[in-house]
This record gives sequence, C-alpha cells and structure tokens, in this order.
Amino acid sequence: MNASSDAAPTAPALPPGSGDRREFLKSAACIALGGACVLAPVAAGVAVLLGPLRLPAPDGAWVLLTRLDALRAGAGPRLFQVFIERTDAWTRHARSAVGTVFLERLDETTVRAFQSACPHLGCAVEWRRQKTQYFCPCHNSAFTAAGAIIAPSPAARGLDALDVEIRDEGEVWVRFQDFKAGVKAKVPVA
Amino acid sequence: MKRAWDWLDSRTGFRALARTALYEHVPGGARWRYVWGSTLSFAIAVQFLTGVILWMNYSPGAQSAWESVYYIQEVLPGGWWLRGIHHFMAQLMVPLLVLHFLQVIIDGAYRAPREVNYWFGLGLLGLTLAISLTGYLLPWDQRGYWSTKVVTNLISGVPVVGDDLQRIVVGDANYGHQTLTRFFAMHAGVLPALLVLLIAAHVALFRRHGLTARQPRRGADAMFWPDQVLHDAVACSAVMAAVLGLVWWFRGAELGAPANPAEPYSAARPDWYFMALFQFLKYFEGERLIWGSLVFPGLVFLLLMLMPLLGRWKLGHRFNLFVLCAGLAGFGTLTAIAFSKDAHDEHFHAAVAQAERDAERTKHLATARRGIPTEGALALLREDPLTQGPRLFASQCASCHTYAGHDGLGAPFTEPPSAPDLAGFGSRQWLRGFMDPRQIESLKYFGGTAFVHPKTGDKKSRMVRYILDKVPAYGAEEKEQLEKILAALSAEAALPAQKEADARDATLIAEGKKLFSDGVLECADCHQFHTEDAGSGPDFTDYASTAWLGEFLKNPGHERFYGKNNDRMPAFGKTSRLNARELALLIRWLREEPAAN
Repeated sequence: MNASSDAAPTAPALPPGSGDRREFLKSAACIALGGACVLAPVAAGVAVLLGPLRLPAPDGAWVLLTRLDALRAGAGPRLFQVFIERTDAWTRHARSAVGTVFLERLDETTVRAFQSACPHLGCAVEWRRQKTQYFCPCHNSAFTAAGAIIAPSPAARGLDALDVEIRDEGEVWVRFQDFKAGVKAKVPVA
Repeated sequence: MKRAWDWLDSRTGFRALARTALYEHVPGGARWRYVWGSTLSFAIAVQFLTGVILWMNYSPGAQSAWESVYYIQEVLPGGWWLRGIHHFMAQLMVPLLVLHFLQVIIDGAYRAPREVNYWFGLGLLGLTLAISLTGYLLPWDQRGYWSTKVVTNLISGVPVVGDDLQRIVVGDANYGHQTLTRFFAMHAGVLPALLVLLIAAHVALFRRHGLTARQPRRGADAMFWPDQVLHDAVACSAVMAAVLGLVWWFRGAELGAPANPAEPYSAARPDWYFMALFQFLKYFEGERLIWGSLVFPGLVFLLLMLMPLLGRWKLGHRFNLFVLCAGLAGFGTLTAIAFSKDAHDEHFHAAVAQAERDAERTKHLATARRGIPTEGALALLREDPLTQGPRLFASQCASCHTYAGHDGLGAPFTEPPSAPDLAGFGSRQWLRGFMDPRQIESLKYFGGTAFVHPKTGDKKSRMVRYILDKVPAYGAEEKEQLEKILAALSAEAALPAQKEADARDATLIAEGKKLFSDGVLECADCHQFHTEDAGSGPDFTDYASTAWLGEFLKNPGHERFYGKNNDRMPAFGKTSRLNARELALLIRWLREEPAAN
C-alpha cells in the first residue's frame, strides 16, 4: 500500500515556464506569500541591527583632569586618563575609562589639550621628549608640540585640540571628544 | 542582463541546481499533508535569522546575560519583536515536529528504503529539543535558572560518568559564567551546525527516495514548484501568523526576574513540551529517579528507532501507529495533569506573581537609572527597599505583625496576628485608629498583645485603659485637642506621604505640640516629648521617624521605649537578626520612602 515502490523522480511532465496563466499566478502567489512569511522576522532583525544608528550622538563631556599647579610651564606635555559617567549598552559606569589627553601648560593661565588619538587612524600618539614631537607608533605620523603635522605624514590633519577651561581658581577642565579619523576636517564623531 | 546570467550559469550551473531543487516530482499531486517538512525548514530558517541578530546583542555571563537580554527586550527598538519571534517559533516547532512525525508514520514513509532517513529525522527531533533546552537558560532569569538546574542534576544520574558529565556541562560545581558560555556555544554553535548537517542529509535522502505519496492518489502527478510550494507557502504563512499573534498577545517573550541562587523560585517549570516529563518524574521515588529520567525515555527512543524495522509487517505498522497514539495520549495526559496541578496551586501562583513583580521592578530600576550597575541586575533588587522591605517583613516581623492584613508579601495569615498592623505606622490615620476605643482592642492594634491580654493579673495596660475609659467621655474641645496632638505626633515621623499635609497644617501641629507639652489629655504623664526625663511609655520625640525606628528596632526594651513593659518585640540590634543595611531597607519600606528610583 505504501509508495516506497514509486519510481525515482522523473523529468517534469510539463516544461517549466510554459507560460500558462494559471502556472504564472501560482508562481506569483508563492513568491508573494514567501515574501510575506519572512517580512516580520527580517523587519525585526533589520530594526535591531540598525539600532546603534538611533543612539544619541555624544556631545563631548567636560571632565576635571588636574589642577593648574600640578602642571609646570616648560615641562612639556603630560598624559592624563579620562574617566566619565557612561552607560555602556546596559551597564551604568560611574567612572568609565574613555581615553587619554595630553595637557601642556603654556603660561600662567593657559593650558593646551590634545586628544591623544592620532587623527590618521586612531592609534594613541606618544610624546617623544628627545625630539620634542608627538609620534604615532602605528603609521609614524609625527606632530609638533603645537600639534601641527610634520611632513611627510600619513595623517591628514594635525592633532585634535580640545577645549580647555580653568575653573574655580585652578581646576583644569577639558571637553573630551572623539573626532573622525583619516579626513582633513576636524569633525566630532556623531 | 541575460548574458550576465548565462555567464554565471556557465560557471556555476545554478540553473540546473534550481531546476533540481524546484522540479521535484510530487506523485498524485500537491497535498496539504506534505507541508510539514517545509514548515519546519522555514521555522529553522527564521530561528537562524533571528538567532544571529540576537547573538549580536547577547552577552553570556552571570552579570551580563540577563542584562543584555533586558537591553534587547526593553531598549533596542524592535528587540522585543525579534526575541518574541525567536521564542514563539521555538514553541511552535514542537507541534510542527509532531505533525511531521505523525504524517511520516501514518503515510508509511518511514519504512524501507527510507529507514535511514527516518533515523536522521529522529536525530533532528533530538537536536531541536536540545537546542530548546540550552536556549531556555540563556536569559538567566529565575525560570530558566531553576528549571535548567533540574536538568543538569538529572545528568548526574547517568551511570558511572554522570558526575563528571554534569561538571563538564555546568563548567563548575555551581552555575555561573562557565555554564552560560557552554550553553551558549551549544545553543548557537555546535547544535545548529549539527542541525544543518543533518537537515542536508535528511533532504538529500528524501530527494533520493522521492516523496511517499498518500494512497490512493488523488490526481495527476504534479511538480514541487509551484503546486506544492504554494501549499507550503500558505502553511508557512499560517505558522508565521500564529507566531506573530503569540508575540502580540503575550507582548513578546517573557523575561523574568534575574537568576538569584539566594531567592528560591518555587514555580520553576520547564517549557511546556517538557512538562510531561516533569510530571512523569514525580512518580519515581528516591533513587528510582533514573528510571524516569533516563531509562524510560531511553526505551521510548529505542522503540522509535526500531519502528521502521517493525513497520515491515502490516501488524508492525499497526503496532507503530498504536504506540504513537498511546504515546501522544500519555504525553497529553501528563502535560494536562502538570498544568492543572499548577493552576490549582496557590503557592505556584504566589511564586509566579512574586517573580513577575521582581522582574518589573528590576526593569523599572534599570530604566530609571539609565543602566545596570557593574555588579549586575541583582544588585538593583538587593538595595531596593520596595523589594527587600516586604521580604524582611515577612521573614522577621510577620510572625506577630501584619501589614495591611497580610504578611508583607501578600500571603494571608493562617493564625490571628499577635501585634499591630504596621501599614501606615505613624500616620495620622494610624494614630487616630489607635486612639479609637472601638479599634484599640482589635487585632489591627493591640488586640493580640499583652497590653490587652496581660499574662499576669487582670489589668490591661495603662494606655489601653485610658483609651477605653477616657476617650469615649471626650467633649468637643477634647476631641479637637486630640486631633491636634495626633497631628503633632504624626509630624514627628516626617512621613513622605504626609509631607504636604504636615506643611499645610503647620499651625495646627505647633498647637498640638504645645498642648502635649502643657500636659493636656494626660499624654505627658507617661510619654517623653522633647523633654529630658524619661516616661514610663515610649518616647515620642521624633516618633516613627527613621532615627526613632532605627533605635526602637535595635532595642524596644530600652527604657526610652517600652522598658520592662515590652511585650515580645525582639531587640533586632542585640540579636543581630538584622544588620544595619537590612534595618535601613525595612524602615524605608515601612515609611513608604520613595525609592532612589
């Protein structure tokens, strides 16, 4: 009674694509229904996949890095770690390490701040005391103490200066931001 | 365009491949009963698609699994739909597997020469169940945690290697990071890879042997495309519609309270298709457990394996059909018993409700604080007065006190309470009730205490006698004085709920304070109130405030409070029954302090 004795699959009885109107409607219905079936999971998947695009753009956070009297004019730049209050996806960090900043005291009231990320491709640049220049150990971009490109350089622009404010008689505050790598213009990362 | 296709075809032969795939011969024409294999393939495809995107957002780890699923569910746009589809498709796969299995047996498609393909199918059934089982733990909520523990304990029952096997599966003596990383690797890596291989073999063998047509054949032979595909597409659409309906109805997949080994969950249940086995295990006593957990399921599986061999004979085929029906009936009966037991079990419902409350509270706290602390979501609940207060009350206070008539957690009392109801303690309303001669002897106030039923002698306490004897004789002026004094007393508590009333009635309260200090209504005869000398009754300075409650709970028998008249109220500070953190949580909850979000 069972069909195990059926012959192996034979060639199609009808040549495919015979142009029959009924066949066409059936095929169209298959494709339409098939598409409808996967619409919801694909839509939900794409929505979640594109979720990061909907996150609010970071606007730069003002952070207190040191006191003015801890920096000595003429001593060259010093590297400071930056911690901010931040939500990393689901985790709330009271102090989350987000990067480093070079601070250099220029005179009585002025402090210069550079984002330590190389404007070329984001490696952390170092201050080379002997040569008095910033140097990127990844692709050998070099910058003067003032942040200007030392040619020839793979970087398209000089180091990214950050806004500095001296508050309450000697607190050094810096607005920490990331900038788009590899381009000439200094564009905050949105 | 055509040239490009021709080029691609000449290099890959894709046209012939598509033709082979689509122009499968369907003897006797397309039929609805052939759709189940396709619906399962569709379901698996959807699981892969949704699963991979979930994978991109999931983090296996004891302090990140629940948290990342919370993020998927509550924060990511579309996340609850995605997870909901993944969850409910998994639920629907089980009945689809059963239908596919039934059709194969009833139509005799499991017999020679298709035995091997039937065994592949059984393998796929096992793999699907294993993927469901491993996926159940991944959200790391109470339900998944406690019910998967049962499963890994069953593993230890395997003879000889059981303990080692359990250790390898769990990754440690206790559940933790290693359990999640292992379960996740199995769920998203090893088992799906095996599934794909086995499906490929299953489909290849199906193609080799061809479709087993239901006899008698209804009509002329047809092609898989588009006739059967149309049937399949309709069936798949129905499956997806059912899934979407379930997602909508249940508002997505459940995410319970975060797994907490210190918070027993008495509603630990596996997914519904394992409920029959869950119920079955109740019938095996002591160490006979292995008969229910391994031997019997093993024998059933063996019997299923043997079916194609038995099916060679007509009688064998009938036997197989009988076994199948009996098996399904048994499965259905056990499942129904399990669910109906739970439906009539008060403790089960209470545990479910508690877990739901905790889940909502955790989600609320995580959202309000814009994230979860690094210690994980459990820390949110651990430091939350609204969560811990009722639990501490139920375990420490509810042996005597009630809270709004229940034990703090909502369970009614079996014995009458022997101490006052503490809901609203210190509020004007609570104090008014206390001073009411009709209420003071009720169980809501002193009805269960030694102040009304003294152990020695027959005299009720001075306070109770005062309320019973003097208060009913109050004139209009005294009633007004009492009202003012109670307002003043209640203002000492600085209850958040009474903040506005206290500010509004500042004059009234000041008058009340003065009346008290002037000795009106005899209060000051026994009670200290912003004075130096201790009275025989409790001190009313800062009455029911956070500081007062803290001191009182530490030692109610201190002379500042009840002194030697203390009934049975324990000194929580002396006996270390509650530490400072727990005391603070309990007090904040009792005073209905708004949580720090």
